[in-house]
Amino acid sequence: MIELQTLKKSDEIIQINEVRVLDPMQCTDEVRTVWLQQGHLRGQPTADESVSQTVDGQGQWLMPALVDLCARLREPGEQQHGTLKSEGQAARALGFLHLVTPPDTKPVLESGALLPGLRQKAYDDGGIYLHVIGALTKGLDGNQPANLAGLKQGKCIAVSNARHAFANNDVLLHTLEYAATLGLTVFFYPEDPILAQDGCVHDGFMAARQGLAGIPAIAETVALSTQLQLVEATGVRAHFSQLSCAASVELIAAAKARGLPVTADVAIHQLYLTDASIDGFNSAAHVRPPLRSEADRVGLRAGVASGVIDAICSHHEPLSATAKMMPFAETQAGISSFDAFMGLAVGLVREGLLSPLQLAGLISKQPAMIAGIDALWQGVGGWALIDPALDWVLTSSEIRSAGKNTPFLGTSLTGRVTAVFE
Amino acid sequence: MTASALHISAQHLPSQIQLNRAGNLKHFLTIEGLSCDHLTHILNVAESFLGEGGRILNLPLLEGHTVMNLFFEPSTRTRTTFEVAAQRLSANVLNIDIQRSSTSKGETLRDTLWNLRAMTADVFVVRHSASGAAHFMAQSVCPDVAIINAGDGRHAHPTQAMLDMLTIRRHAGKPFSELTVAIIGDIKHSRVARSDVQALQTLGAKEIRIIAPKTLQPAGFETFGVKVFENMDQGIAGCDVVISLRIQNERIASPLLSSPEEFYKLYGLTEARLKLANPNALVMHPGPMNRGVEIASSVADGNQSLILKQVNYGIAVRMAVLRLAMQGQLEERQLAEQETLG
Repeated sequence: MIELQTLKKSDEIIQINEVRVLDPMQCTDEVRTVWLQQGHLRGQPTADESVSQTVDGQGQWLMPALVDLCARLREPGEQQHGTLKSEGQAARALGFLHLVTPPDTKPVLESGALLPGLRQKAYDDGGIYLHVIGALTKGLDGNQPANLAGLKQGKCIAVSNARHAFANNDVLLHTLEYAATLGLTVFFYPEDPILAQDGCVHDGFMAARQGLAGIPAIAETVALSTQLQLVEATGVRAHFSQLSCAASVELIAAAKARGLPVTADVAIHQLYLTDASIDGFNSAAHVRPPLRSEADRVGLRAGVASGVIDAICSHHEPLSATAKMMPFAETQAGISSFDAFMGLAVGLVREGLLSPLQLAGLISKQPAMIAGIDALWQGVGGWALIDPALDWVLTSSEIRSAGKNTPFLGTSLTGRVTAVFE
Repeated sequence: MTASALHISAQHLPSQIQLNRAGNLKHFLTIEGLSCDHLTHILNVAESFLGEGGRILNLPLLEGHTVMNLFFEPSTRTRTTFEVAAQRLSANVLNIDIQRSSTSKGETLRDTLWNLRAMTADVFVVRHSASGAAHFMAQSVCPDVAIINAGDGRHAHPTQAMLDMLTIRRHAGKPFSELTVAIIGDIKHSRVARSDVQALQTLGAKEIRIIAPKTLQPAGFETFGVKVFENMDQGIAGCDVVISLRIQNERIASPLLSSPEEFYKLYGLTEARLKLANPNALVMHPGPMNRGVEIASSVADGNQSLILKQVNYGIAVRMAVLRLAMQGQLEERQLAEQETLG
């Protein structure tokens, strides 16, 4: 599907002894010795072939290359925070070989002709497969559909208005009809702009105590309800990204029960943190959608466990130190998430929420299918070796991303990617 | 996942930022996290600056020190009282016209402050439209300059709260533990309300009530340990102190309220309503007032009103806070030196 001129892969054969292989495509979870070549599992080498490297896989997991449904790499336009090189290389080392990026770069990703060059640069600089969500409306201004056919020709994997508002529901209705005509998936990040107003944190006790303007949960659910009705009316395939409210999980569950063509994901930090993290104006926890209540966190976890939520994304948004060095509301929202991702993801297994195989599905196969890149994902292969018992501390020097903006800084984590094979 | 990730912000707690290693004030950012002893000490020091009949004394306690007033938001009363307070302490006082300063040329707040600090500032008195601005300065920009919060967004106005507490302590005739205090009006957008509630709680007030329509109540405020009333008559009944808050014009021209007249009808502090409170209940307002919107003129000027006393006590409280924070900074430097040598 993608016309990337890929680098020639090594023909070396790597043997991993007694590793727990988590393969969501085959639905298998078994401990065995495996051989990898060119990013793919292969049979035992013949007498004529030699193993160039042997790895002890005891106690470790081997899962397919990770697919992230939302990562902002900051290029083009905001290279002071990160680049395709810095973020691509970080992602690759941490097991993410496929990154989906929203269109709200500078300039906006609304021209299909520019997409092949961007993908090639992401591969050349960062060694990752970049999958672009094109702009749904021109300049993301919410008034008129962008050149969706051109974007499709440029092989965007979906279209979206990112977090930008639509002028009104009439525009939304017709852009969805247009996207449906072209067979494009629409990504939504539901938030009613009027209800959200100038808010910067969840509208709850912490917002009230600190005098910060709140974004109520209904800002998400009102937008989501409207969008679901328009999805039903237009028949467009839709993905709802970065849900933050328990009530949103219920709305998605009801929509799926009605047979609507919808999927949803959640950002990993929403499964751990609540608005308690903003205490003391901690700008590292300033993120959009905001960290919400404990009830929301529990509801999102239940959605992941029940399968209503189809994927877990990083929602990686690296920022320079300067962007967070202001009074809280004036700081830029965003969490640099790549580095803590696997430690947090493994925690979901350790806490009994998911089986290791379910986790592998949520961060590789399912997002690949949502993005419609499953053929490429399988075709290029790639496997990540994870030590689920490795204790480590997320320090600034350990962070591979250019953005050190994470509320998990200084946190002890258990579980880490130890090698990536492709 | 370890528990530590769920408690990541302990280092940001205000109480740990505004106190020096001996536990004394080195900044004054918020009431939150301060003990009853801290607040009582501030009130006692403020009292010591009041002479007979509320006359403010001159004491050269900040001689040789420089106090810079940085008002990123317009203010007349607060800025003037801080200026008077610093002068009464013999400090060098500079009012920086921040609207015309480099911040309007794109310089970051951090760079502006670093430049001013280099001009040997000892104290920054800061008013800013963003909640947490003073906290940010004390934590991340100038921890070694005493930061006094003169109001940050909707978050806190701790010197206003302390002058309110001084007013109550001097005039209520009974201890805080026997007082029922009502705060009326726009609680949601009020930094004064937040700081008053925290100060009253810390000083052990018997009961704190807030009286406001749902549109002007912050989310989850009932969990602050206050009683919430939507009906003014019920809320004011039996109160010893009534604090009326200013309704800002931009709130009236919004979906939050229908008209000033209707607000007055429902929540205006009138003579008739004041009669529902305890006899001789104290009437307070942080100013500036909208007469005929949140308070009747006859009540504002009546003999239960302490509104002008509040302004007078504001100077004493600000002198106390300037003195204590400067002292705390000097103590911190001394202790740090001793620690390094030891």
